Amino acid sequence: MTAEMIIAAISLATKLVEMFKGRAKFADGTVLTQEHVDAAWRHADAPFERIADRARAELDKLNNPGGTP
Amino acid sequence: MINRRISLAALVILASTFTLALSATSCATLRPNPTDPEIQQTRKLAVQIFKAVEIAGSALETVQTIEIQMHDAGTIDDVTHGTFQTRLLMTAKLVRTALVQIQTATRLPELKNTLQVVIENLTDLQTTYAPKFANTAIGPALAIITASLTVVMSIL
Repeated sequence: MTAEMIIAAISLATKLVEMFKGRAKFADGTVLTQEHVDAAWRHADAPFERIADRARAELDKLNNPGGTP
Repeated sequence: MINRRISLAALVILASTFTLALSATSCATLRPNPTDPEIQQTRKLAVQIFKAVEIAGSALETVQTIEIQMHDAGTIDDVTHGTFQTRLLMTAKLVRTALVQIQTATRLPELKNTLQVVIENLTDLQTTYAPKFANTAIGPALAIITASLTVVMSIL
């Protein structure tokens, strides 16, 4: 569990650093298209889609412990 | 007779051209100019927000995984597990709706208002559940969410 958490923390810290680098990059004259926005939106939406699916599955398990329909 | 037909054809062509020109002009008027500085600023901000929300989402996913593992191990009871997963489901739905609004936002005020809703919801989730899961691995993961939210705040 602890090793898992350390790996997750390092991965998230790396993402934070990338994000700050991204901010610096946007400071120049880069023109962003709607496609850039859509791609970033898809990345942001993905974990929440998975969270919702998993939460539904867990709630189904609680409401139906035997697994019968 | 031929001349009349030619004139009629010319009139039809002229009318079609005029209609086409008119529709092209109206399209240009309705569609926002992508190089408009405010649109560019809105897009840049939206991309930064999406990156921060992605990080918060990854952290929240880790929290969910840990909570499920703890429930499976018998450390967390069914009632707490059910309440927490229900809350996660609601949060995910709200955030996903807000992300769509941010994606389609063309002006900064609407972008900021929507972002505020996301931040308030994630912050509330953290303040509600961090004490409940104190002394567990969920604590550090919730702290990562706070860090990413702080970054979002700094963008505002």
